[in-house]
Amino acid sequence: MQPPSNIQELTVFRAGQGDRGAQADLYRYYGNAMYNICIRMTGNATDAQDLLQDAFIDAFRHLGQLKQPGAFAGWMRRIVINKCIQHSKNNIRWTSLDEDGVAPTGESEPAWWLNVPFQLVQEEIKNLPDGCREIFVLYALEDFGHKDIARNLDISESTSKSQYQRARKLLRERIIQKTRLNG
Amino acid sequence: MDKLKEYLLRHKTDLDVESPAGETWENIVSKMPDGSSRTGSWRRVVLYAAAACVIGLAGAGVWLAVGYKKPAADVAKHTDMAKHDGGAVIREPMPEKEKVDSTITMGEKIKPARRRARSQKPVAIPDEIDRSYSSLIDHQLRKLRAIPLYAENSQYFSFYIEQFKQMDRDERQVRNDIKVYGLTSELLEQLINVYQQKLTLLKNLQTEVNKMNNKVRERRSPTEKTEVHYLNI
Repeated sequence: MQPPSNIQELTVFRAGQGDRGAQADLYRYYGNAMYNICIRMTGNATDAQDLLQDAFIDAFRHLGQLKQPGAFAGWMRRIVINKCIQHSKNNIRWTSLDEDGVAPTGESEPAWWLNVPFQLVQEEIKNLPDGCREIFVLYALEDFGHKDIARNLDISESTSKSQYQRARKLLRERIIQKTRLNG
Repeated sequence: MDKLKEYLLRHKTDLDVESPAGETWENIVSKMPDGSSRTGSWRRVVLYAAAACVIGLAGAGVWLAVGYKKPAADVAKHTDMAKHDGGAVIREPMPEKEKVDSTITMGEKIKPARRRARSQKPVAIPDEIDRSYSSLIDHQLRKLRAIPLYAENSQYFSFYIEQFKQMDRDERQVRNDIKVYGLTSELLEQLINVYQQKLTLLKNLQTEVNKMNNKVRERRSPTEKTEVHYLNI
C-alpha cells in the first residue's frame, strides 16, 4: 500500500494494519452509503445488514491488497455491489419480460420524478419486485450498462432491459399514486 | 442518457436516507480476528527479521574485520594516530593484547579458505602476479632498509616489523596450502591479499620513518652529531 498523504488515507492505512479504531472510523465514514446500496438492492433491512457486515469483514481482511489508500471508497463500493449481485444470483429466478410487451420509455416522457421527495423514491425502489429492483438499482444508480448487468447476473441483455423498463413503469405508477393520495 | 437515470445519479447521495442498525458494527467486530494480535504478530515477524539481519551483519562484519582486514586496519589505525597527533611520534609500545589478537587473526584467516579449497578446481599458477608482487615488495624493503633513522633505532618500529613477520608467516601458510591443494582461485586471492597487506604496511612504515626524520632534521642544530640506525626488517 502506498504511504498515506492525508488523514483519510492514514485511516485506511492503519485499518489495513489491523487497527480496530481505524476500522471503526472507516465504518462510520462509509457504512451509511454502503448500507443504502445494500437495502436498495435487497429491499429488506435484514439481508442488507448481513451483506453490509460481510462486505466490511471482507474489506478489512483484504485491505492489504488495496494499493492506493485513496481508492478505498470505490473499492469498498465494488465489494458491496459484488456481494449484492451474488446475493441476487443466489435468490432470484430470472424471467425475460420481452413477451409481456413492456414498451421502452421514450425521451418524450414527462419528468414525473422532479419534486418527488427522495425518501419516497428510496422507499418505492425498495418495494419494487425482486429481479427488476436489482436491475433498476444497478442501471440507474450504480451506472452499470445493460451489457455489464447481463454479464454479472448471468442473464440476457434483453432481460436486463425489459426488467429495467418494468421497474421504471412500476416506480412511476406507485410514486404518482402515492403523491396523489398524499395530496 | 436516460433522463431518470441522469437525475438519480445526480442525486444519489440524497437517496441515502437510511442507516444500518446500531449493532452492525459490533457484529462485524465479533466476526473479525483480533486486530491487535494480527498487528502484534506482524510486529514480531518484523522484529525477528530485523534481529536476524543484525546478527547476520554483525557476523559478516566480525568475519571481515577479524579475518581479512585486521592487520591492515591496525596499520591504518596507527598511521592515523600518528597523523592526528600532528605528526608526533608514538613512543608507547604496542599493547600485548593487540599483538596477540593480530596473530590469532592471521591464523584464522587461512582456515576457512583451506576447507573450501578442497572442493575447488585448481587454476594455473600466475607467475607474473607472483613475480610482480614479490619484486615490488623486495624493492620497497630495500628502499626502507636504506633509509637512515636519525632519532630512533629499528626497535622503535617493532610494531610494523612484527606485523610484517606475521604477514610473512601468512604468506608461507598460503604457499603451503597451494602445494597441498593446488592453486585455487580462493588461495590465489589470499596470496594477493597478503601481498597487498605487505605493500600497504611498508608504505605506511616509510611514511612514519620520513615523518620522524623530518622532525629530527627540523629540530637539531647543524653541528649536532646524530646517531644513525637502519631498519632491521
